[in-house]
Amino acid sequence: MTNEIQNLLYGKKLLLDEMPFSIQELDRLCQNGLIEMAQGIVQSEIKRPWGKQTIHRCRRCGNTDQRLFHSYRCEKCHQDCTYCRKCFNMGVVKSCSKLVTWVGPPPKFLEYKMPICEWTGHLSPRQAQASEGLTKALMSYEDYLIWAVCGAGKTELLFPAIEKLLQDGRIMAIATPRTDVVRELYPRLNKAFPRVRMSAHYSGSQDTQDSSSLVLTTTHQLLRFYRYFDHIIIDEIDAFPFHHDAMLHYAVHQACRLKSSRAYLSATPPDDLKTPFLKNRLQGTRIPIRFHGHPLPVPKCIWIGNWKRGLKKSRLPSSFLKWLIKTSQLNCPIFIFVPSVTILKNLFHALKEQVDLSMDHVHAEDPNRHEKITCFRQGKTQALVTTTILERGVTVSRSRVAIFGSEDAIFDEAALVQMAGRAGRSLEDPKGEVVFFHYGKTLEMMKAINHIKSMNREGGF
Amino acid sequence: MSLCLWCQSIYAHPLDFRHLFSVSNQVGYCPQCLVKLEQIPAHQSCRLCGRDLTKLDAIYIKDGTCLDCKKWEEGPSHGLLEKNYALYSYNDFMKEIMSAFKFRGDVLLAEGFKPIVQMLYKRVIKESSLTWFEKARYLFFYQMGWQFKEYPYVIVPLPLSQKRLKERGYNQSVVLAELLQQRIIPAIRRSEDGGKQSKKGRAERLNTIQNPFRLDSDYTDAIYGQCVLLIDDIYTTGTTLRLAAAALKVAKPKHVISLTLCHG
Ligand SMILES: [Zn+2]
Ligand SMILES: [Zn+2]
Ligand SMILES: [Zn+2]
Ligand SMILES: [Zn+2]
Repeated sequence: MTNEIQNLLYGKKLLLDEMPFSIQELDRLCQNGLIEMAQGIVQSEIKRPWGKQTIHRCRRCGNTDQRLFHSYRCEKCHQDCTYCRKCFNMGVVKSCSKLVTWVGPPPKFLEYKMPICEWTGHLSPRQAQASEGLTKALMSYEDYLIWAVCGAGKTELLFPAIEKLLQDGRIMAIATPRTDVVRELYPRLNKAFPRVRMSAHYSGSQDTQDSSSLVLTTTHQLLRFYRYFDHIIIDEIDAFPFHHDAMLHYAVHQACRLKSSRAYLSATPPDDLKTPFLKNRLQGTRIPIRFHGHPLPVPKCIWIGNWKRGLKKSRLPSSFLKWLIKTSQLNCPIFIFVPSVTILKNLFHALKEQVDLSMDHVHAEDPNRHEKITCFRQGKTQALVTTTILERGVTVSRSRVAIFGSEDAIFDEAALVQMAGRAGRSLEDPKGEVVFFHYGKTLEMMKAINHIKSMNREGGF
Repeated sequence: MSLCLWCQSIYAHPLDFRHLFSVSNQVGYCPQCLVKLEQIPAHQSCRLCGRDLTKLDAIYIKDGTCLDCKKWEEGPSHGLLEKNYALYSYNDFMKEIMSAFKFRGDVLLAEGFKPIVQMLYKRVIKESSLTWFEKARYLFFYQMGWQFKEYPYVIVPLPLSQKRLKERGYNQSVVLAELLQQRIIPAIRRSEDGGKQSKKGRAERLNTIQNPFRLDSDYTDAIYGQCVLLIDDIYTTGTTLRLAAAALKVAKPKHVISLTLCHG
């Protein structure tokens, strides 16, 4: 019993209510000093000129935004109880709930001495160089940035690094912002490292009781861990919601051991990583070429006038229509990105009336999202009108990309680069085409184009 | 500027006269979230259960009521529950909100419905059988935020069993009832094992089911001869509310009506 508890709780911070063990057992371990229970919400008072102010802090997610706390009369502890609204999706943390951690001796981890990686592919020289740099940095507990264009083959270059680090007895996590990616990556890693004890964590997944050496997790689920990892590799560090959300930085911070290091993967690193990298304060590599060795397609800009007004009357900009018809004759899949769900619906209906093309539309809350994307992948629908949900991860070969209304404030440099990165990803059709349909160029559009051009220049094109 | 309770985006309040001067930090839902809710139009709702009749085929409607209600009316328990008022249709978005509010502990979500629940309460008073003078007096008092000396309705939230209450920490019906900012009378209790009720529990079956509710005898006087307003989160088949009304019958209320956040 103690062993099971040790395996489940070591390096974790879990709610007492979600524990599958009896309270008596846990109390006994607590008295023996093997586990620690802490109050979920910490309350402190600050003196202000106008009197005392009560400040709450969530012990799990580190939230201190007082607007995201709420107190109510609790029938469990018969007091006014405060709960955290920031992380309540992972099971609510209240003043009267306890967070449990193992503080006794660590469990036994499997040792990996033999070669454990069964992946047989080859790395390009650029990839190999990045992989070596990564291994070296992490071995000596230093941070590392891999700045690689979309389609550079980032996952593969991790494999040799993971193997070396696991052989050294390190415990690692690969964290990514989205559940889809965790679920897609897990089987691939499982195939590459069949003998390694690994686990996948995403919202709705079960907590495993094994002490795994390799953990694949969404950035949110890192909150369940507490000082567990030697290294965390964070994929798509620039992706929404990571670069706005202080909670996720907190999650990464507290999931790491005191002596630890992190690796960042990104096509468009945020400024707080880019600047130290460019000033040589952060180690890293840039991979400016895609794995197939062709340059990234540079976006074209086409002015379409006040399309919002036209769209209200179901009128479509003629240059956009012309492009769409011309491109559809090439018989390749077309992504049409739009800034919002309302525009998505309006544009889709207008297109449906005026263009004879198999089309569909999809947005984040669409219940049939996965089926629609599969249809698009298989070529059953030729054009897909979508909001920015598909900007990352989804790869459809031979695709063309149109960004409709690219001047909208929602499209920043990172998003535009990512969307442009959907085009020309396969070997058969490495060129692709990306068009920004706009009503006035914005700074972000220019930045995105310059970004792509400079990556190409660096790649030797 | 406010933070949306659901999607946590920042939005501007439409400025109306009251908000200009109030310093209360109002919480609510942003316009994008509000449009996803389906409010039931008052004039096109079933006059007995409050369901949205525009979503129903004409063949299921008879003299302004739905056929479900017709069945209740013809059954032995007719008149037990005079009328139900409901605010929203139980669509997918509402389901998500309710699951966070009821089962995952996000109590604050109810607060966003406060203005509209209070508005519905005013409608309940307007449509009651009081004289116009009494109505005007009550509405004026309510508008000013004063407590009534005697109540047009005795507000009774549907209870949870002690065990559930202990697990969850709160009763969602009480949280909703508190939005009305009037005194709450917890006149009904729910027995421990009465949690599960038969799915086919319709009018005909009402008497055969073991009623999980019973009257708290301390409140017999508070109910006697009064109009009772039951509060619950959702009206599904109407069985639960009728069972609660049946439990109150011992105390001889004048009549019983109910108010729910959703119908579906
Ligand atoms: Zn929290
Ligand atoms: Zn409590
Ligand atoms: Zn919202
Ligand atoms: Zn009805």
